[in-house]
Order: sequence, then C-alpha cells, then structure tokens
Amino acid sequence: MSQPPLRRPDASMTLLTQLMDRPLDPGYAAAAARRRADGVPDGRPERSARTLAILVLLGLLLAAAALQTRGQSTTRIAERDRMIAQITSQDAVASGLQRANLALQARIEAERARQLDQQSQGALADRITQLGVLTGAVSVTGPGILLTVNDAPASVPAPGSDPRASAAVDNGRVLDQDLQLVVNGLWASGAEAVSINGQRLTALSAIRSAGQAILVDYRPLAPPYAISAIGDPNQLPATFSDSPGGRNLKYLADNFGIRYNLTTSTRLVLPASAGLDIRQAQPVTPPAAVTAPPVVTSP
Amino acid sequence: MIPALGLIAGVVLGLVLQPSVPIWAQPYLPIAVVAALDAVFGGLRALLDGIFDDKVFVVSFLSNVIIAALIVYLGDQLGVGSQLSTGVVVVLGIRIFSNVAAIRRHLFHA
Repeated sequence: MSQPPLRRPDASMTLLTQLMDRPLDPGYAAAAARRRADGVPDGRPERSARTLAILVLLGLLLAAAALQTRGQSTTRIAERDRMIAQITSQDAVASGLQRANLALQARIEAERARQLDQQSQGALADRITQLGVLTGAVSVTGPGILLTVNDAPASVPAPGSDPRASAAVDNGRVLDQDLQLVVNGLWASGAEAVSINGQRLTALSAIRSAGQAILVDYRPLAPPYAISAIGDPNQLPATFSDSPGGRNLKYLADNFGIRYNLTTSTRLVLPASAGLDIRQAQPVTPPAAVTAPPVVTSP
Repeated sequence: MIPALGLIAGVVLGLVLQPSVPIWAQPYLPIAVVAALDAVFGGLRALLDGIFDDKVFVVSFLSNVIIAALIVYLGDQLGVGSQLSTGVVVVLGIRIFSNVAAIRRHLFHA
C-alpha cells in the first residue's frame, strides 16, 4: 500500500520556476564550495584585474549600443533633410531649365520669322505663327477670362502640417477630374488658348493627379488654380457657365464648398508650352513637298 | 568601488572613442548588452552573497554575450530571429529581475 509520489503543484512549469528560483549562476556556489574545500581564504576577487577588464568592456558595450541607437535616428533625419533639399534644388533647376527653354523657343521663333521675312516668304511665316498659336508652341496674348478655382476653406491644411496626415476622404478638394471638366468646358465654349497656373495646355497636355497633387504636363500645381483662357470676353463667361464644365463647377461650389471666381480681362498673356515635342508622329506628305509653301486651306 | 570606476571609465571611453560597430555585428549588439547586464547583476548578487568569484564572473559574462548573439544569429539564419530575440530578452529579463530583487534584499533588508 504505497502512496503515489507527491507531485509538485507547479510541476508543469519547471522551466519558469527554475528561472525564478535559480537566477544566480550555480558556478558561483560551486566555486565557493571548492574554495572552502581547498581551504583557500576568501580574498577580494571583485578587485581583480579580470573583473575590472570585464566592467570596462561592459561600459564600452553600453556606450556603443547607446550611440548606435541614437546615431541611427540622427542619420535618418539628416538623410531626409538632405533629400528634401535635393528635391527643392532640383525643382528650382527644372523651373530654370523650363524658363531657359521658353526663352530659346522665343529666339527660334524670332529668328525664323526674320529668315522667312528675308526670303519674302510672308505667307509661310503667317502659317507657322497661326499653327504655333493653335498648338501652343508660341506665347499668345489677347482678351479672355481668368477663372480661379480653390479648395473648400476647411480643406486647406494648417501651415506646417503634413497634407497626407489626414487620411479621411476630403470632399472639399479640387481634383484633377474637376480641372479636366473645367478645361474641356472652356475649349467647348470657344476658348482659343488655355493655361493653368502658367502651364499652357496643348493637344498633348495631361491633367492628372499624383497623390494629392494635380500635375499638368508632369509639373505639380499648388492651389489656387488660376485658369486663363483667351476668347471673346463678352460671350465666353456665359457659354462656359452653360457648358458641362461650368455646371459641374457650380455643383461643386454648391455642394462641397469649392470656391471659384470668374473675371474677364482685356489682355491676357499665355506662355508657350514647354513640353511640345513630337517624337513619333510623321506628316503623311513626303518631306520634300513641305519646302514649297503649303496650300493654305482656311478653316 | 574600483569595479564601479571601471564601468564609468568604460562608458567614458566609449563616448570619447565613439567606436563604430561593424554592420554585421549591429543586430547582435543590443541582445549582447542585455546578456552582459544579466551577467553583471548575477555577479553583483554573488558579491553580496559573499560567494563572488572573478573567474566565474568573467566566464559567465563572455559566454552570456556570445551565446545570446549566437542564438539571435542562428534565429536570423532560420528566419525566426526576432522571435528568438524576444525569447532571450524575456529569459534574461526574468533573471535580471530576480537577481536585482535579491540585491535589494541584501542592501535594504526589505
């Protein structure tokens, strides 16, 4: 009649109990017992050179680990600042190049006009100028309307805040589609040349968005969006208000608080497009025929 | 007293020299520090228990640091590096806590 061996109530947690009960390296007790058995008197082993060396090593480790962790964050911040500075400087460089490009284009235009004038090819010069106006290759001036579109007041972020921090869908923000509708409405209403924030629109222009920014010809725009359109200032505002683009703008203003303002102007100056570059398209007529003045079929 | 001065000297030395940790050792430095702390608190407790032995201290310190780094290295190679680091930190943390509790009992008798 033997009793079953008593199990410890915490037998299933021996690992944890061992950890809690024996946190000290058993080597210390064993070494002490050995010393006692050998009859060696207890010295002051904590003052030995070995202990000192290990503690110096520990101090080095601690300092290195702390510096490592702090150094990582500072390098990250420095890296980000460097990137922002690079973006800003490259943006300035791109703007400068665009301006230089426009100036050079203007010089080419003037030089070509002079050459054609000398060769008394007046009709060809007129034709080129007219095509340049239509395609946006030359800067134009004339009467027209100035349409300013801006986000709803509430959606303008506080200065210094991260525009991407607000994850909520922002209905009071002008979208690329809205600008597309407005511009299409202006074309449909008889506008002859259109620019947004100084970016001339051509048949090859794209209005699209990347993140929350609206890009025109891959150049980001900042609100408010100033849309200049050259056309009859007496007739264009009314026609535009009746067009789908104008009606959509009114709907956005009534429902989402988007602000817009339409004024007429007697003289607007629209720059030439910077991105007019044909890479693939070829005219159907053989190039030899172009040297002769083309037959101008007036529209 | 002298060991404490050694520790301070080590920290000052590290701050002055600013040793650059090689890239391959960077993931293992934090875990090595935790393991070193465990060995140091164990040594401090042994000192207060009156059974301190410098050879045991040196060996436990070095083996702790090397084994902790080795476990994390092995875990990294097997794809469970972060989980194994957590395990090492938990085990060493428990040991540090109970050793510090024993030190506290020695110092404050409470």
